[in-house]
Parts: sequence; structure tokens; C-alpha cells
Amino acid sequence: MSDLLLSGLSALSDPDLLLLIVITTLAGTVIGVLPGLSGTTGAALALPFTLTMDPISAVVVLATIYGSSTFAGCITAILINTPGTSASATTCLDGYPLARNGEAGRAIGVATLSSCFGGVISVIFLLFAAPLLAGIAYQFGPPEYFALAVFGLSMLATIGGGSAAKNLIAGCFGVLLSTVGVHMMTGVERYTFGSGALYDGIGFVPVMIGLFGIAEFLRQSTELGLKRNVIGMRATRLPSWADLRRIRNTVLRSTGIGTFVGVLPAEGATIASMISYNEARRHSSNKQNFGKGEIEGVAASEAANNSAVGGSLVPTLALGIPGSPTAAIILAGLLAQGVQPGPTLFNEQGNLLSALFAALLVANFLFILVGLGGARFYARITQVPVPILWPLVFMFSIIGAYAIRQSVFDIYVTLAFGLIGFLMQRYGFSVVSLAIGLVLGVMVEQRLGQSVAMFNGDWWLMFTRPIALAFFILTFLSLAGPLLAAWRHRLKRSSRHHRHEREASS
Amino acid sequence: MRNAHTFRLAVPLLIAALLAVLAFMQSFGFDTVPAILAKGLQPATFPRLITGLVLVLAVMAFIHDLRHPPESPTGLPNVFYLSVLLLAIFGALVAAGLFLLALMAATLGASLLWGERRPLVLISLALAPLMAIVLFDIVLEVRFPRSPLLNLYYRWS
Repeated sequence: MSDLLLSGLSALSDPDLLLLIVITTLAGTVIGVLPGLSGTTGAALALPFTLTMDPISAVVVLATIYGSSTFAGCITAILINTPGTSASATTCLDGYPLARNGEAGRAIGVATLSSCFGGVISVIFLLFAAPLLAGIAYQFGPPEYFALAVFGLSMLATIGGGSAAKNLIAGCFGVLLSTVGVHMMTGVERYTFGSGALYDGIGFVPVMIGLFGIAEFLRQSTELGLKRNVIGMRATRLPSWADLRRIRNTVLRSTGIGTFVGVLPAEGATIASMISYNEARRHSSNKQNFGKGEIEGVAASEAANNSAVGGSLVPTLALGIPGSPTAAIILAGLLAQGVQPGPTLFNEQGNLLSALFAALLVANFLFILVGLGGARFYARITQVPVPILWPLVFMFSIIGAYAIRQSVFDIYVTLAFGLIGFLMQRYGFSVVSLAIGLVLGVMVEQRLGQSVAMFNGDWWLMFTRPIALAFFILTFLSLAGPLLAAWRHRLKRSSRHHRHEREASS
Repeated sequence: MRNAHTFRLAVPLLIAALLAVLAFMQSFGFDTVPAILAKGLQPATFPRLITGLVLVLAVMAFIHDLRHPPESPTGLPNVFYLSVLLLAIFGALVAAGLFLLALMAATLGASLLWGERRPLVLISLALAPLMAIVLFDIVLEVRFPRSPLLNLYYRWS
């Protein structure tokens, strides 16, 4: 770990790498402030550019875009009441009322400092936890990896606010899509319909660009009349001592929640910020101010969503299981570079990891400059007219989808998944589930096959392996947990109701 | 009225179930391999498992929607349908081997469709794909599909 830290710091002595971090932090911030353009779309669009880079630069670009776009979402959330990214949705609740009360500078100052703190702590956690988890992963065999991937898929049930079953259906279709092409183990064609373009399967990046870029392009066409007014702001200011004392506990708690939620497979910054916001309100002595301009609300949301970034990279790097949709893109970027995530990564690619840690640390400190110095400028970017911005996004989406494999077929895949993604969102199916299902599908099938072969067909012997069993129990809890909680709540309510009736009658 | 709403709820789930059934049936066309090659699972086993799961989940989702009906989505504006049509025309032009022209028409068309009227902006948007392609060609060495306009560029460069 100390080796990683030292080589990470020495990686920063490379001026080219430092310049790359600064440029991508600024670019990621632009992506983050533009409503509709998420870090996931930004990373997907940047992926073709990273293919000509060395693996270190590529992963630095993707990770920095991820971190900075997550941070930048707060600027538009506070100034125009539109979250730049979904992870900043809860920042709107208190950030915008503060801005309307003439305290935009204070809100952005608190958001910046909370983001920076959450981000730095989560990177330090990543530095220590990822190698530790990778060490444990040495004990993983096919059954453990299968159980872990199934657990990851079960977490898709809680993505977004919609129906768990619909989210799981979307995840299953993602897994099914991963079976398209020539089966690696046997060479048998599946769902290729005789088309040579499908032999290698459906490309992950065109699907992602379609689901997040083109689907959003179509969604924007339904909101053309929407007016966004930027609230005026003199200057961003650092939080006062009184503010710091007030948000101290909230920031610490939210950083912990954000990092933990980030580590969970598939869960990302959006869920982290929602949980943290609710927890902040529950613990606050100013509960009544939440939603009306409470500074703790801004701090909770921003500390959590930025700390989820580092957390989500822990399972991505150590196990090859993406901790969030954007982490899935980073995973795809690593694989495209020929870098295989997993326990061996820490021995074989120490330089790459140290550069990644260093890049995220520097990016988090750059947020202070960007947040305090550039918020007004970035707020103006949001005024770029939709009829100019989105045709350009469409253009880069198509070129990016084509550039990865230089295949015209990938353009059609992108267009088709754009329309599919739009319709899925409209009818309550999560596109994130589909994307993560597609990433995890290959691992699930491969590890299941290996496990069945390992136990000579007696697949149930997987349950005799303690780590695998633990993941299966977690899977059961993640699927049955919400049902059990609802049942318990109903039971409590009915017993309270009976008690009241008894008291009334006596 | 209630029946119509129930039907609307069921349509996306019916489509999902239908796709799963089609995928399940298609899996019977997959070759089988000797057990030594299959390494535990025949190529058709896993897709069948997943499609079966989709069917079960579709039933669960339908029951959930009946108990807690989601809000019906609001109608879509005409400009959305025109944008989808634009994507279809773009796809057709790409299929006809006119990649650059398709991209130029799509960026210009989308902007026009969405209300942009300033000639200078529209011309810039129409030319943007050419600049992007030059950038990808020079920096990333991406070779784009040949088309009359791109042939001119490749001949020139």
C-alpha cells in the first residue's frame, strides 16, 4: 500500500500526466454541468480517444472525467435547479432555495468543500481497501465469483426508484445480450442469425453510448420548451467556521455512507446521495429547514456522491465487478487496453493503479479551484442552446460508437439502443441495469459453467463454500429485504391499529 | 377505462415476455456439444435459464403494477417523432454508403427541427462532422467508411 502511495506521488512528477489530469478535470466539469450529459455518457464518449493512449493515461482520463463530472453536477443543481448529473438531484432540494435567497456562493462553497473532503477520503479508502479486497479475492474460485456476480445483479433491483422486478428484467436482458455471438467455450453460435457482425457479440460501448447518449438526445427532444434561468452570484465563498461546525458530522457520516454504497456492486453515487440526504435530515437538529435551503442538505448530498466515486472503483479494480455504471465504462476501458482487473492487477500493474490514485487525488483538490473560481463561468455553459449542443452530442456519439471497432454495424447498434433506452426509461425499466447486466453476463455464465464442471454437475455444492454461501445470503437479503421490511412495517402498523382500537373500546 | 389502463401497463411487460419467449425458442436451434467440451453447461442452458427468469419476473412486475399502478407517461410531442424519423433517415443514408453526408444532414436536421434558425450556426453545425472526422482521422487514425464526400477528403489527404 505504501508502495502504491509512493509511486502514485512519483507519478505526479510527470508533467504530461499532470497536464492531462488538469485538462480532463476541466472537460469532466463541463460534462457534469451540462444537464443531461452524465459522467457515464462523458466517459463513454471519451473511450475512443483513450484507445490510442497508453493504459495509464487512458485510465487517468476516464477516472478523472468520472470524478469531476460527479462533482460538477452541483453547480447547475444550485444555480439553475437542474442537476447536471443524477447524483446531484438531492443537491437541488436545498442548494437552489439557498441560491434564491442570495446565498448561491455559500452553497457552492459548502458543496465544493464537502465534495473535496468526500472525494479525498474515498480515494484514501480505495488505496487501502482495494489491495486488501484483491488479497481476499485470491481465495476466490469460480463458485465465489459466480456468487459475487449474482449478488451484483441482485443489487440492480434497487437501482432507481422504479419496480424492482422491472429493473431485474432489464438486467436479465443485459445478461442475455452478453450471450450473443460465438460461445467462447464451445465455439457454438448463439443469436447471430447468420450475421458475421454478431460473431464477436454486441459491443459494450455502442450499447452504452446508445443507452445514455442517444436516448438522452431523444429525451431532450421532448423538453425543448424548458427554460433554465441562472441565478446570479457574486462570488463563491469558503464556508465560515460556523458553517463548518454545522456540517462537520453530516460530511463525515455522508462520506462513510457514500464510500460504503459505492463499494456495493452496481450501486453508485445517485443512491449514495439519496441515502445520505435522508440520514442527514434524520440526524439534524434543523430538520424543518430541509428542502427550504439547509446547508447540511447540500453537504450531505455532495460528500456522499463524490465519496461513492472512490468506493465504486474498489470492486471494479479488485474483482472486475463494476461498482457503478461509469465504473463499468472504466472497466471496459481497462479491458480494451488489455488490462485484466482482479487480484493480479495489483502485482502486475502497480504503476497504473498508483497513477489512478494520484489522478483522483489531484482532481479532488482541483475541484476547489474549479468550484471556487470557475462556478460562474461553468454556469454560463448551461446556457448553450439545446438545438446546438445535442446535435453535436449526437455526432460525437455516432463517431465514438463507430471508432471503437471501426464497424458500421456498431452505429446501428447505437441507434437501436438509443430508441430502446428511451422507451425503457419511459416505461420504468432501468437502462443502468441493462448496461451492468451486459458487463456481468459473460462472467456469470463463464463462472457458472466452471463451477458446474468443478462439482461434476452437482451445482448445489456451491453452497458448501463459505464465501460463496455468504454472497448467496446477501443476494437473498438484497432481493427479499425490501419485501421483509414492507411486511414488518405492515405488521407494526396493524398491531398499533389494534392497540388503539383496544384502548378506545376500554 | 380501468381495463384500458391495465392493458397499457401490460404492453411493455408483454413485449419483454414475448422477446424472452422468442429467445427461448431460438435457443433450441443452438448446436449441442459433447460433455467434455461443454465444461458443465451446454451453450443453450444459460440463455434458457435467463429467459425463464425474465418470464417469472414479468409476471411479478405485472402483479406489482396492478397493486401499485405507475403513472401513465404523458404524450410525446411531434418533434420527438420527427427526431426518430431523422435517426431512421440517418441510418438509411449510412446503409446507402453516405456516412459523412448522413452525419451532416443529421446534425443540421436535428438543429433545424429543434428550432435553430440562425444561418451561421446551421452552416457551422453542418460542417462540424467534417471537422470531427478530420480530428478522428489525424489524432486517432480512425478510418471511416468510404463515401463520395469522404473519398474526396481521403484523396486530398
